[in-house]
Formats: sequence, structure tokens, C-alpha cells
Amino acid sequence: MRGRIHWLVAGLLVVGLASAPPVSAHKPSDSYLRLDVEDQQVTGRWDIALRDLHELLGLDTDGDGAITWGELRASRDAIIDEAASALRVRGNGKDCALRFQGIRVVSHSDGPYAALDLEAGCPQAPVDTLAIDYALLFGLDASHRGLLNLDFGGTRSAIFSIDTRSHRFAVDRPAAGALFVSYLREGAWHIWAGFDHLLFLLCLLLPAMLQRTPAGWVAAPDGRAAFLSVLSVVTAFTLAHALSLSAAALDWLRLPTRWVEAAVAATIVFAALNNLLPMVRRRLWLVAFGFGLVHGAGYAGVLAGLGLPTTSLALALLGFNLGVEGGQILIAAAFLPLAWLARNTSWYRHGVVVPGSMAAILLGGGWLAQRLFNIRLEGLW
Amino acid sequence: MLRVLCLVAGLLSAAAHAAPYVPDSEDQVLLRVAPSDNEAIARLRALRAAALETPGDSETAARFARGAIEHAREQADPRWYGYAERVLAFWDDAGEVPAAIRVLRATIAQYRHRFDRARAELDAVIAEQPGHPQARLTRAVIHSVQARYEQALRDCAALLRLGELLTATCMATPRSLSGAAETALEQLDRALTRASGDSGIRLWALTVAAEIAERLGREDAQQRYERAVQAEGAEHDLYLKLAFSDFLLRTGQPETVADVLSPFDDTTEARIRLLRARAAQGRTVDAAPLRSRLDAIRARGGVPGYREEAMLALHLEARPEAALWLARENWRLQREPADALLLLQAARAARRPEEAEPVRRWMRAHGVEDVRLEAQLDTLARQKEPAR
Repeated sequence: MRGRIHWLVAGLLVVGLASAPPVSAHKPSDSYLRLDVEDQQVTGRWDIALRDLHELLGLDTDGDGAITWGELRASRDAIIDEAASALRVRGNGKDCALRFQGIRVVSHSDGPYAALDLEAGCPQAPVDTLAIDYALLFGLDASHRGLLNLDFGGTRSAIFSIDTRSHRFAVDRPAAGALFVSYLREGAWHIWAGFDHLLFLLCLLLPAMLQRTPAGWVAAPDGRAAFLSVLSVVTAFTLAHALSLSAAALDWLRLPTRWVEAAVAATIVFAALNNLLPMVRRRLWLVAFGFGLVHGAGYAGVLAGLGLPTTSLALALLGFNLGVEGGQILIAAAFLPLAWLARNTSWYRHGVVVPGSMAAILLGGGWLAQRLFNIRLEGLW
Repeated sequence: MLRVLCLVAGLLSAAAHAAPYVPDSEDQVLLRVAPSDNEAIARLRALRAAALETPGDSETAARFARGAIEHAREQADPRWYGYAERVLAFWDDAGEVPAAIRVLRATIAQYRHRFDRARAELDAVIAEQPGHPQARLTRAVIHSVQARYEQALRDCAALLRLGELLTATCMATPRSLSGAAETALEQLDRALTRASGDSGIRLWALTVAAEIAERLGREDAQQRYERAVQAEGAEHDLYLKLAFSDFLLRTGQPETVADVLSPFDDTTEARIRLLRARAAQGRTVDAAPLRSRLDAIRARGGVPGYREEAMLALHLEARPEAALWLARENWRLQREPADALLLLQAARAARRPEEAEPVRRWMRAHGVEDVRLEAQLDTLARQKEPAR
């Protein structure tokens, strides 16, 4: 009877708190798990409360009621063992090798935590699905929660509890078709946005429907021959351009950006100059090819900015290249009929080709100087 | 959707705090814990290990759970509720659950404000053992907190054979909220002088008496509180300390609040009162750490502490609209006079006198006598009238 009364009393005190709020000093036990997924590598940090580690492992080795940094460090291996056995990360269904680095200390609102830096290498790239199994402290504390912050194609968060010990995440990859189209559009857009490439193209196209004679430019007698000549030039340019672009994007070719950009400017100058002075007449397509290589390398910077997907790399490249070529063809298709129609007029030969080429020389020369010598002319270029 | 947003915000903010560091010296103390010669903790840990080793042994499990819950209460340390729950988890899906285990589950549920779950467990126990005192007592309190005073009184009546003081105390609160406050106080005072009782029961009785006296607007309310905090066992009674602190804040005596609340000053509830006391004394107060604590608690999920959230919003963050919403949510869960007061204060601060209706209804339906509530209602009524 005495025992019962005792418990009754103790129970009373508990009962007296019926209306006392559920939150108290320290909140219930939480751990904070932060993970970032990049390609097939997972990095992150796991914060585990020292209180919890003490309850699990007994951190206060000298029993004096104070857990010191030295005591925490001495328990490092035991802590890492505990953590490693409580966490499992799988990428695409395959286990990612989990490795813990050092331990530091971090403060949260309810006291000090051990900050465990970790990384996990997943065998398959890219990681499309991520599965995390969590079991820390559930053998001891039914109210423990693991709070997960995950960066996996966007920020996600989740809570692990004794009833929910696993979470799976999947990243949305765009369908091949959508990917292709988006890069196609990027390619086409960059033709327009890349003024220097555009200018070069125009310089090449300006005398397309003309023929050089000792007397200067005259209308090309054979329209078909002129058209074929343009075609060969543009094709050569396109092919070379695609080649060097892909090589640079795939990292087979690494050229310093500054020199490449300067070279692009130089090609503009050359092409424009060629319209004024007969430097290259035959085998223009060869020159176009060479210059195409330069321009393609220049585009690689753009692609790097876009970020290539590691899968479907070929598809993305193809899309981008086709976009660029498509853009060029559109411009040529727009320009050439006009050039053909105007080929006989003197205002075209003298008013467009010559001044246009001279303007191109100025612009190109300016860019060349700026890129070579790192001069910045604000607002002008 | 809002829950998800709050969850994400909470998680992101909770995790984005200070940066990790390497301490300078080996001897730097990171955390203080109970030393190894602390017998009480050592005993508890041994019991826990034994209970975990022999799942299904309901006696050991119950013994540990009881000790853990008591410890959790005394130290205001919620982890021990988690340890108790873990030990009791064996019976989560069991067909036959011993009464002791049910009662313990109910106790934890009630602590977590899962009143329906607690009641379900207690109903099961009482159905089998109508005379089970702990079950009756716990259920009586839940009924009282949720304003089912007749049912509370019926459960209290089952405790008669256990002693006059216990029964009188159990009955006092529901009676005082059913239009018989003076009588209830008189009976309680008589029982306190006449009957002897365990120090725990006495402490409870003194607390309840002080609360009723305050509601009646009696002059000796403060004396009663002071007597209670000096009684045996009061140092570990967080509920009493909070009640007295609230009284001191209401009566313009913020200076003594800090003394009353120690050693619980680290608890969230105590922090709120301490900050309020500081503010009342004209000192600058920073509620941000408390806010981040509540956010961290909310981020982990589970039943939120609407009362604390409402208090923080109302008294320390000057967010009356939020406080009103929280106080309303709180009112849906529990109907103690303190909850009523909170709702009225929030309605007043938000200048929405119509929000006081639920409290008015509750007071009229049961015959609640509480001078503080009536004063608030008067002020709110005047708020409704246009300024003259």
C-alpha cells in the first residue's frame, strides 16, 4: 500500500503538470544532418548533441561532471563508429562509401553539439535517386529526431523519427527531347547575343554575291556559283566551329580565354580587310575553316557558363551546335537574297560593302586591342 | 502547405546557426552533466539498461518509466520522456497491455498535450479496474483542463478512500469553475488543516488553494502562494513556480520573479516570465534567442506549444494578431483560466473584442468566477463602444 501511495504522489506531481506546457528547457533530442549532392559525391556535416553522445557512450571519462574537449576528442573513434553505423546513404540503390573526417564543436540553441564532417562516394554517376537510412539513438530515445537538410537538385528537408527511418529523394532530369530543344535554343540565341561572331559572319557574307575584279567588286555573273561558294564557306566555318566547340566543351582542348577572344577579334579584322584588299581569293573556305576553329573555341566559354549536363552530354552539344548553325543559316538566308538583289547597284558595292568592312575593321581592331592588352573602354564595346 | 513552409523555414534556420570550431584547449569544458557519483542517475541508467535488455518485462519497464518521468519533471529534461517511451514501445502493438503500462503511456501523452490519446488509455484501464487511483486521478485532471467539470468530479470521487486531502484537492479546481469557488476553497482549507498527507499532495493542495484565492480576488492570495513555494518539495515544482511568477507579474512585482523561478531558469516557460519581468523593470529585453528556440522546437514536428508561442508573441514580440491566432488554437485544446486570460489579453491587444466570445460563453455555461477575467472582459466591452 505504501508503495502505491508513493507512486500516486509522484503521479500527482506529474498530474499537477497537466496544464504545464510540453516544451521545456532543453527540447527533446535532435540531430542536424546537412548533405550536399554533387555529381556522385555527397558531402556534409552531422551535428549530434553532446548530451546524446554522453548518454550513448559516456563521454565524461573522469566522471567529474564536466565534459572537456580533451574527453570528447578521446572518444572520437567511438563517436564515429556510432555515427557510421547509424547512417546509410545509397545512390541509385547502391551503397555510397561513407567516410567521416574530424570532429569539431558547434553550438545550437540548446547546447553544444559534435560537428562531424562527412563525405560519401557513390559508385554510379549521376545520382538520380538518393536513399538515406537513419537509426541514431532510436534504441534509446523514442522522441529523437534527425533533421535533414539536403541539396539534391534543389533544397529538400525531411525528418527522421523512430517511425520514419528512411527517406528517398529523386532528382528530376529533363527528358532527352526537352534537353535537346533547350540547348538548341541556347545555341541560336548566342548567335544573336555574340555580336563578334555575328560581325564576322556578316563580313564573310558581304561580298558573297560579288566577284572581285582588278577594277573592284562587280556583280557575280553566275548566281549559282556564287551561292555554292557561299555555301562552302559557311559550311567550312560551321564544321570547324562545331569541331573546336565540342573539343573545348569536352575538355580535350584548353585554350586561355583571353587569347581566344583576341583571335576572334583578329578574324573579324582579317575578314573585313579581305573585303577591301584582295588577300585571299580562292580557297576562302580554307580560311573560313581555320577561323571557324577559333570561333568555336570562343563559344566554349559560353557553354561552360550554361553548364553541361554530365549525362546526355552529346545530346546537349549536338543541340547547341545545331542551334548555332541554325542561327547562322537563318542570318545567311535572310541576308543573301538581299545581297543578290543589290549586287548590281553601286550603292551596295560602295556604300555597304566598303564602309561596312571598314566599320568592322574598326570594331574588330578595337576589340583586339582591348582583349590583347586588357584595356577597358567603358560603355563603348 | 503552411506547415511545410514553417517546417522548411524552421529547419533551415535551426541548422544555420553558429559555425563549428575547434576549442583552444583540451581542458575547455563543453558541457556539464551529472557526475558519476550521482546515485540517482546511476540507478536510473541501470534500470534503463535492464528494461531494454528484457523487453516484455512490464515490471522493470514500468519501474524505469516511472523513475524517468519523475526525473524528467524534476530536471525539466524532456529526453527522459523519450527514454521512457522507448522502453514502453514494446507494448505499442501488443494485444494485452498491462494497466501500469497504459497509465504510464497516458501520463506521457498528457505531458505531450495529446489529451485524446491519454484519455483513451485511461478509459481502457478504468473500464477494467474502476478503482485504479492513478488512472482516475490523471483522467480527472484531463477532464478538468478541458472543462468537463462534472466528469472530473466523478473521477475525483473515486479517490475518496485514499484520503480527504487528495479528494478535496482533486475536486477543488473543477468545483471552483462550476460556480462553487468559495465552497471549494473552504473545503480545501479544511482538508489542509485537518488531514495529513504526503508532501506531494500537500504541495498540490496549497497550489490549487492559492490559484482559487487569486481567482476570487482574495487579499490572502499572495500569502498563499508564498506559503506554497516554501512548502516541502516546492523547489522541484515548476508548475507552482510558473503560477506564482505569473501572479507576481500580474500584480506588478517583477523583482522577485527571478528568485522564484530558479533553478528552472533555463526552461522555455521560465525564460518567458524572466524576460517579461525584466521588461517590466524597464530593462532592455532580447526575445530572439527564445524565438529561435521555439522555432527549433516547432521545426522538429510534434504537438506545438501554443500557449508558450502565444505568450511570446503577445508579451515579448508585440505581435497581437499572431498571439490571438495562437491563443485561439490553444483554447481549442485546453480551457484553463490561464488559457482564457491569454485569449482575452490577446483579443484586447489586437483590438478584436469579438474574439472574447468563446471565453464569455465558457464562463456563463459553467459559472466560472475569476476577477481577472471579468476585468479583461470589462475592458474589452469598453473597446467595443466608440470613443467618446
